[in-house]
Order: sequence, then structure tokens, then C-alpha cells
Amino acid sequence: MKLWKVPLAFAVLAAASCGGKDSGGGEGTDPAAAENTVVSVAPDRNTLYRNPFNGWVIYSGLGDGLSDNFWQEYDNMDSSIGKVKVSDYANALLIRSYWSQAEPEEGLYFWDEACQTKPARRFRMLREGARERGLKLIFQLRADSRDLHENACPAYVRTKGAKGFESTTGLTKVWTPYPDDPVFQKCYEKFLRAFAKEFNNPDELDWMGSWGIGKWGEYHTCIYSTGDMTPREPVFDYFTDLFLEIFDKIPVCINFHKSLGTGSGDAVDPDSQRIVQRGINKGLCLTSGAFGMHAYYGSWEKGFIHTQRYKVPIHAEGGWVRGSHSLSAINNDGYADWAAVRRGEFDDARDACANTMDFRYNSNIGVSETWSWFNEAFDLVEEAIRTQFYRLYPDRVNIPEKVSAGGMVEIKHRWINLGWAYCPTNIKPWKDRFKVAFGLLDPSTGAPVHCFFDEAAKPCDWHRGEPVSYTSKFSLDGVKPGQYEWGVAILDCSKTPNVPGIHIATTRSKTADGWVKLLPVTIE
Amino acid sequence: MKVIDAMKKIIIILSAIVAAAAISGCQRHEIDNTRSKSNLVMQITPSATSVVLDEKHPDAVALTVTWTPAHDYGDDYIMTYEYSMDVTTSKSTPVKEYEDDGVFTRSYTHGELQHMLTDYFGVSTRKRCLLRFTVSCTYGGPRVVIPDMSSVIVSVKTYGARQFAADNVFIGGSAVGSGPIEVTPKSSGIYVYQGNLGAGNLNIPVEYEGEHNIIIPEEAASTPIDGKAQPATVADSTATAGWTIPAADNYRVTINFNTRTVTVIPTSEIFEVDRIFLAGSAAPKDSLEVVPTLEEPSVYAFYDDLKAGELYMTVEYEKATNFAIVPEEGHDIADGAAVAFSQAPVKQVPGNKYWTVPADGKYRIVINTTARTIAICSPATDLPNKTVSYNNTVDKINPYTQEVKDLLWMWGGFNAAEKDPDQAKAGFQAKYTLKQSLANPYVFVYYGDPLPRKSGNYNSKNQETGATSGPAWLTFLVSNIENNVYAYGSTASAKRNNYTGTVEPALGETSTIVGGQGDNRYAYFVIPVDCNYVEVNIDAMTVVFDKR
Repeated sequence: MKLWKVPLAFAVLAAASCGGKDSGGGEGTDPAAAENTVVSVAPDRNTLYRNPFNGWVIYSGLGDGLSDNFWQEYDNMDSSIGKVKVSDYANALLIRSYWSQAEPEEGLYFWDEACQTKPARRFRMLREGARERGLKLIFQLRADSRDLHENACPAYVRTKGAKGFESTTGLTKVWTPYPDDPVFQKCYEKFLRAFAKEFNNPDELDWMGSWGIGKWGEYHTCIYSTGDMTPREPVFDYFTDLFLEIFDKIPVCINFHKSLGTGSGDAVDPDSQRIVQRGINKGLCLTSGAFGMHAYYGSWEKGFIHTQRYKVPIHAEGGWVRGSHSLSAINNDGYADWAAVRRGEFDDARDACANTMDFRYNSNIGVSETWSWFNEAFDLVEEAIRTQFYRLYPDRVNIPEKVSAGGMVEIKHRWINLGWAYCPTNIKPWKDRFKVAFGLLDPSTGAPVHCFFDEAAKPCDWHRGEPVSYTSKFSLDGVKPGQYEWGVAILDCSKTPNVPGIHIATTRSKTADGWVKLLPVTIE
Repeated sequence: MKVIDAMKKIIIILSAIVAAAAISGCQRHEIDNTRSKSNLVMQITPSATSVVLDEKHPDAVALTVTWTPAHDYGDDYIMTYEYSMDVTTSKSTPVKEYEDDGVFTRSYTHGELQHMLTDYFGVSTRKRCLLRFTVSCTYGGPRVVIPDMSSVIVSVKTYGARQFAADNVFIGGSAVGSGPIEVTPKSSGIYVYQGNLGAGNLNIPVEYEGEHNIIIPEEAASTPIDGKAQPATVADSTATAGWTIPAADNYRVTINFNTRTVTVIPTSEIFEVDRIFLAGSAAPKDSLEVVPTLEEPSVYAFYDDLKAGELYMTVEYEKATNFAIVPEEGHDIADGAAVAFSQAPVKQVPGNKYWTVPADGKYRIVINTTARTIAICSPATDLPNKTVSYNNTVDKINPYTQEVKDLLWMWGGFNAAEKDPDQAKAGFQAKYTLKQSLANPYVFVYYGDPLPRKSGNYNSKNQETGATSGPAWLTFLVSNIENNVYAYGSTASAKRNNYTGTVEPALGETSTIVGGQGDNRYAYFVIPVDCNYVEVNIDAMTVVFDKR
């Protein structure tokens, strides 16, 4: 922060740049470029970088199943290399919450200090713990009560006259509103708008998971008031538009399910792909809760996801649950043991080029998916950090050591993504947010004095195994002669002033803010 | 631009078709697309191809490997160098690292290599191994490019404690005479010398990984031989300790690298046998064999007809027949007595080394290969079978007298009363019988698969447990006509139709049996778990259930 209190002659000199993808190898005849120095930037292949919509996600909930010592247990997790702190391997904390936990009384929300229910206290414990550990939040909301032992929908909604249906979980009868019921929609929208007012903040919320509709909140096995599928698409459009409107700064995901919005849980519906695609076109990102399950994450899901790679970010949530599913169940799915299940999830995530993967929770830690990952597949936990999640760096930067004041500068730079996932800077909420910039840094403080953007260099274009080169030209008009240091960063332009927003994965020296130092330069 | 590109492509394709047609008209060309997309130029080079690590200079550089860069395909391609080391014979995964800084060389000190080879790759101390260095360069870019790779193997010898191991083995010392004699391996890790030694000192010089060591007694002092496997150790070649050979004789020296022992024994004290055959005019047919008994494999027995005449006994060991069992003196069979025997090379046997069988008849021969005794029993001295008397309710003969011979039947609930198809009564199965021993007619033995321990109803309540059924119970019957015959039961208290009893012996425990056709039939034994051996002695009146 100190850096930005200094009044900056911070002329953002954008685009005298003729940046754009090179054809590669054919350049080199420009005399200006001949005086440049090639700086090789070594990658950092191992460090976990807390970049948005990227990395392992720790799962939690707000029910009685959540341990009061959640953070203590997760800070001392057994693993095949001894005790580890799970948050050292993760980027975000996902909280699964029912609507009734989030709003136990009309207008009283779990983030309010006045709300003293157990779920609310748990939420604040999780929120505080995540903040202390540098984890962003993710929510999976749920308004459907099926398979729960309590109502997911607050009681006041039914009192107000919402129509719904009952189901039985064990000996407990629970009630679920019809998703097309106008009273339900009005109440839920009011709650969601309050929720978004609190959380539509990319500094705290990484992305939004499921919305609460359908069984398990995964938007399948839906029951409408009409008894048929007539409301299916209107309901979809209503919630899609609502979520995208209220979460305009946060990526919102939808479960890409082959029975999306239908009454089925597993049949292939001919309209699902079209409807999901409509949501994507509006700005939705993707998630699935069945990675690794051959029956539920099969040819339809793989075929669909292959069409979405590098277009939208994808969250990969495994489907097999160690604490619930038997060994014979996974054997029947072709897995010899739980280590093989983890490998299956990993392989599916890699196939989908997924951005995020899950550490799911169980109060009996020893049977949780988190424990399983750390004890039965720890190598894959590390491998995902190294090569699955996006990891960006410019391996070669061709840059001048000496420039005349007011002259033109030409910089050639080549970018590499070491991860299978792409960096989704193309999605709607991130439009114009993250940009590649070269800076003239104050050699003594590392603070950027002048900043030059290359608008052509888009991180979403950088895919594993496909280096992308650019040539950028900038005018040094207004830059005072003197000694500087070249730096490079991917800036978050939603901040004022701009700060590095996506960490560059290199072992090279960086400023405190995250600018990668390249080369001293003299402006004559 | 797109139009121009498309036109260019069409022109190129057409040219290619024309050229291909012209070429195919006059000659045949092999097309290798794979080669055309590769450019393999990388070369890794070590500073030495063979290194002996130096314990005295652990911090000095022992080895440097350097490699040349791979071909650079330009800005459209990213090059990723991966460097790895592995030992060709190790199960440990290779040590791998990326080279991202353009430093195409690695150096290792003696200490670093020693630590890596012994602690990570599991190479023994003072052992030579093949350490492989590999560097690969993979490419990412718009088209597939074959990765470049180069590999080199360096022979490295570790330091540390001497290994009890050898590439070449000798016997030496004053007992050997003029100089060391090389010993050949008989099997993996076992070297055997057999020949003459003089009185004096014996040691075992060995060559291992180019070193000259010597195997000596574990106490590192002169040690008398005792004919058994004696612990040994390895020392440098200046050691003077050894085994003391008391007198000149023909010896066998066995060096066992698996058990780290040395055995020195006069060959005259060795008796090794796999099979024993009878021959000579006393043997009425070829291939009459004296076979190991079920109850004691080192005791061989024969019970069959012989003729009056000369009896030879040849010994087969490891498929070779080099020796024969012969009388210590004379030809007398010492009828019924266990007497010592000698052995003699087969080629001497046709001379006068035989026993004389005095008359035709059924003879029992028992050879104890451990005690090195032989007993030859004519019908006059052989033990007669026992006879028992009971009420045969099937044939309605009372009293009925029967010799106890050939076999005993196990009968009870242990097999859930299953029976063979040819059996008249429930519970009788040929596989659950005890065979009469060839060496002793009073011993009956079962040795086979673990006995079942199924549950079956008792005749009446078990006196101790009150249960009306139980697992694994049985008695031994002299006949299979039905279960109401002469039986050998346990010492448990039992009363017919009133209560039953059970004795539960442990594996290997000797228990008393009770014979008769009374309440003893309801005094059962309970077969211990994992039992696959049962031995009943109807003279000593004992039974042993065991696992062998």
C-alpha cells in the first residue's frame, strides 16, 4: 500500500503498441529490436500461487456434521509426508449452505452479527479462518430439501404461501418449494440480492457454485408445480439472468448436467446441451459433481466438456464419496481401491482441463476425500498444483537496456502456460480486468513509475504446450530520463491503482507487489 | 491473406502430386515423416566412464556430466529440459529435475554420489553399479516435434563396509598345499569344494568387485572344524585366521553366502539320500524301492516279498547313483536288530558288499538315515499286526476278530458325515483315513490337506458344554462297515445315549487313546485348527494332531 501513496506520474501509456501475436520466428529485421537484450525468465514449477478461479478447493458446510475444530484439524492433516496444513495446498474454501441456514428468519442473514444460530457461528468461524489463511470463498447454495433431515428452505417462505412438495428422508418429512412458484422466487430473489450485496466482491468470493435448484442443488431431478416440464426453460432463464445480474464481478457456475432442469437424474435429455450452452453464452461457467464416476461422468459429459475447453473455466468435483460408497461400488465402476478413484478423478479433470478440483469434507476425517487425497494420492495433489492449474510466465522477453527519452520501445515477449487449465480472462465478469503490462520501476523501491499495457497479450490465449509470442511497441513520451528497471506483470485493472492480479510463476526476483524484475534500463 | 494462403496451398499440393507421380514412375522412395520432424542433436557427456568413489575425499568432485543444447525450433516452440539419474538395477524411481536456467552441466562430489547411491538407490557398499544420466528436451508448439534425448551410463563403485559376497571363490591356506584352488558355485550363493586337504589352516580367499578379500571364522581366530555350518565373516586379504583341518582326508567344504557360513566335513561322514533301491538276486523285481515313511521322512522303510539271495541297496542323490548302503562287515541281516551300516561307492559294490537274505518271505526293512542304522526283519522277527475283537452287528458275528492293518478310518462330525459314493454308511471317506506305517505296523498316519472342522451332532449332550453338536470332532475306527465297531476314542468321560465328551489337543500335543466298542466311541477328539497330520499308535495308545 505504501507504494501507491506516492503520487505517481503514472501515465498509462497504452497503445502506441502494435502488440499482437507474432507469426513466430520471422521477426528480427527491425533495427530497434537488434539493440534489445533477451531476458530468459525461468519458470517456478512448484510454488502454489493464489490466482483466481484456479487450484484446489477445500469443502466445508454449516450443519452439525462440521467439526468445531475444523481449522485445527485441517491445519494438522495426516498425509503421506507427515502432518500438513491443507490450506497450504488450496486456493479457496467452498461453503455448502442451505438457504434456511443462510437466512434462518426473514431478513436475518448468517453474516449478520445479530444472527446467533449455530450455522451462523460456523459460517463466521469459516469466513474468519479463510481470511487468515488467504483463502477466498465459494458458495454452493441449496433450496431443495430432498435427502436432507431438515428443510433447506426457510419456514417463512411456506408461511407466505409458497407451493411445494414433501419428501421423506429416513423418518423425517421435509418440504421443498416448486422452483417455478412465484412466492418462492420472490423470496429467494430477495435473499439472493442481499447475499450478492454482501459477497459480490472478488476480493473475498472466488466464484459462485450451485444455485440451490433441483436435487442436491445440482439442477437435476426438478419437480415443477405444473407436474410437467413446461416451466423448465422460463425458470432457467429467470435464475440465469438473476444470478448474472447480481454477481456481475464474480464468475457464476452451472452444473452441466445431461438432465438439466428435467425430472430425471441420469437420463440424457436432448435439450440439456442447448440450454446449458445458452447459459454459457449469457456468461455462466461450468461445474460438475460427478468427476471420476463412469456412469454419471461419461461420454455425454466428456463430449460436452471437450467443446468448452479454453472457453469457460471448469470446476471438477468428484462424485465418489469414501464415507458413503462401498468398496464394491467403486470396484463395479472399475476402480481397485480409493487411490484408483482419486486417479480417475484426476484424469477426468485433466481431460476437461479443469481449473479447480475438490478436497471434500467428512466429519470423520479418516474417511474424507481430503484425507484420501493427502494419504492415498498425495503425488496427484502436488501434480495438480504443478501442471493442472494454470501457471503463467513469460519465458523470453526481448527488451532494451537503453532508450532515448521520448523514443519508441519495442518489446518482444513470449508467454507459457504450464498448466492444463487456461486462465479465463475472457469471461464476462473479468472483461478488461486482467492485462499484461510492462513497467518502468523505480530501482530503489520497485514501485512502477510508468506502465505500458499490451492489449493484444491475453492470458486466456495461453494454453499448455503452445507458447504465444507478441511484439509490443510503446512511446516513451513523457518519461523522464534516468535509471529504471523493466518489470512485467499481469495487472488487475479493476483496482485503483492497478496492482498485479495474477501471479507470474517464475523464480526470478519480484517486487513486493508482484512485478517481475527483468532488466535495468537507462532512459537517456 | 486467407485467399493468398489458400492459393499457395493449392499450388503446393498440385506440385506435390505432380512430383510424386513423376517419381513413382521411375523409382520407389521410402517416406519417413517421423524422421523429417525430428532433429536429434543433444549429446550428454560424462567426465569419466568409470569412477571409484573415494572415502577419504568426500568433498572432492568425482564426476561431471555436461550436455549440448537441443535444436531450437524458434519462438513458436517451448523447450523443456528434464534431467534424470537412475541406477539400472535399482527399484528406486529416477531422480528427476527440470533445467530451466540453461545450465547444462551437473557436478557431484564423492560424498554426494555415495549418499545418493547407497541411501536412495540402495546400492551396496563397495559395489559397482551402472548410474545412468539422461537428459531430454520436449517441445510444445503448433506441430508435434519428436523430443530429443541423450543418455550415458557411468560405472561407479561405492565405498564402505566389505560385503560378504564374491565374484570368484577359492580355498587357500596350508591345508590346501601349493596354492589357492578355485571353487565353483553349486547353486545361487553356495560354493562347494570336495577333495583332499592336508592337516593345517584353511581359509577362503574371494574376489569381489575387483577387491581381494578373505573369508575367515567369525571369531577371526583359528577355529577347529566341527562338521556343521560355522559362522564366517569377511576381512581384507592380510587376515591370517582360518579353520583348522585336523588330519589329511577327503573333505567337503561348503561356503554359503546366503547364510554366511562355512561347513567343512570329511566326506566319509556324509550320507545324502533321495531314494534307496533294492537290487541283487534277493530282489524279485526291478525298481523295488525303500521309501520315506510318512511319520519320519529320514526313516526309509520297505515291507514286501524278498527271495533268498544277495541284497544290494543303491542310493540315489540328486539324480545320481554314486553310493550304496552296505553292511559294516559280513553279509548277515542281523534279523530284527537295528545295526549300523556303511556306504561304499557303487563301483565297489559288485564285489562283496551285500546282505544275504536267508529264505524267501515277506521282509520289513527300516533304514534310519540320521542314526545310520538298518533293521531287516524276517517274518520270524517282524512285529505282527494287532488284533481286536468286537460285536460285528452288520455281519451279525459276535465276537468278531479283526487284524488292525492297512488303515484306520476317521469318523465323526468333522466332515459333516459326508461319505464316498462307494461307502455303505455315512461319514466314511477314503481321503480321511490313516495309512499303516511301513516301518511300524502299530503306527497309522494321515498326512495331507488340512482336515475339515465342520460341525456335527453328538450322540448326546456334551457333558462339559451342554451342547448337542460341535465342530471338528472324531474318533478312529478299525472298519468302515458302520460306526459301531472297535474304535479308538479319547479319555474324555462319556456314556452312550447319556452324554458325550471331548478332548481338545493342541497341535503337536500327544494324547492318550482308548480302544473298545463301548462308551469310548462317544469320547471324541476335537481336531485343532490347521491340522494336516495325525499319527495314531495303537501299541503306545497315543495320538498326535499336528501341522507339518
